[in-house]
Amino acid sequence: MAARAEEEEFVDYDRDDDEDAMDEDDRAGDGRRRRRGGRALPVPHIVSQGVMRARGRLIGRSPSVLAANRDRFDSLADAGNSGHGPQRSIEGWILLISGVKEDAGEDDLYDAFSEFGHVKDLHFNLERRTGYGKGYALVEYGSFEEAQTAIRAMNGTQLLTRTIYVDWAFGRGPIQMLTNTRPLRRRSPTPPRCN
Amino acid sequence: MAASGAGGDDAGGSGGGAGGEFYLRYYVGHKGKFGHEFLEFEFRPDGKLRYANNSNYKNDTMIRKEVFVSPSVLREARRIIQESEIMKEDDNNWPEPDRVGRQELEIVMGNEHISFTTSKIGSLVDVQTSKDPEGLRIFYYLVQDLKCFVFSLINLHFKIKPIQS
Repeated sequence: MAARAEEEEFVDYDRDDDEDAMDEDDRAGDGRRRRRGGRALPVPHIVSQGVMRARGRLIGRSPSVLAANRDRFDSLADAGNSGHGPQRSIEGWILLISGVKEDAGEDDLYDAFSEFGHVKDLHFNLERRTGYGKGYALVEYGSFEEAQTAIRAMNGTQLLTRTIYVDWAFGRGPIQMLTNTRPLRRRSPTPPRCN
Repeated sequence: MAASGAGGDDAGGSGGGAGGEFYLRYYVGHKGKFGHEFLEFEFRPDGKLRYANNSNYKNDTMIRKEVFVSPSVLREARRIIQESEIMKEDDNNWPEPDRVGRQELEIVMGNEHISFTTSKIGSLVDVQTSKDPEGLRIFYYLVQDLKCFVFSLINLHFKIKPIQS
């Protein structure tokens, strides 16, 4: 199994053509020769030797447009794109509230978080299977100060007998992984090496 | 700007007992008279959330968005997956992708890597009549919950309404 994981790291992630993405069976029928074969994860290095069990019909051949590094993905991040701390969203600051009791209502959250400023938007998503809350909510404030005050006041407190956690939803740069010494992002187009 | 308050409580892989490795990718799409239409998103281990949506209907262009999410958001995605128990399933007996479309769900969590593929699922009837209704039901609901989470994140951050593919 370990050998297999290593093999999977040795694949070519650069594609000439977005259209490849789903063309295993080339049903588009334009007869062009498509590139295919041993692509594994779009982000190769995360399948490390530590991954012991792999399952599924797609293993080793997943295609993805998300992997194409040359495509431009729009973002709101500042130039340089490597900061710390929270990232502003287009109309304000978004917080994630986790640990929300499943039978909480949108109004419970709205009331609690309106203490710190005008709640511009609130998503309290429901679990599709049960119709109860999925356990999280997203709240938008117009100003950084309101959002930060809400985090400080509400993180770790009780809402309807359940401890909730409140944090920024977006960051200005990659999460620092303390345990991971391998580079988080590929910096060159050369295929990853097998260590 | 200091990541003060709750921002500091995240030592990478806390919660859920699983190690630091985490990756999630979901794709749904098909090829038809409007070309290759699809929706795809992924969470990378460093927090990068990528979202792409291509609908060629009326010459719509492809939407490509990316944003770094906080460790808390990643942890929440991980929790949703963990609670679904999808990592115990297998796609062996699920309907094969067909003309109508294809779905793919790829997750690395802890020391496991699943990479499932199946057809589009129209409703629970498709689930019930399949050869693995229990496993497919888990997939069916998990995908909806994950989409819901990602749509909210993208919608709030960019103020666009993701289109259901």
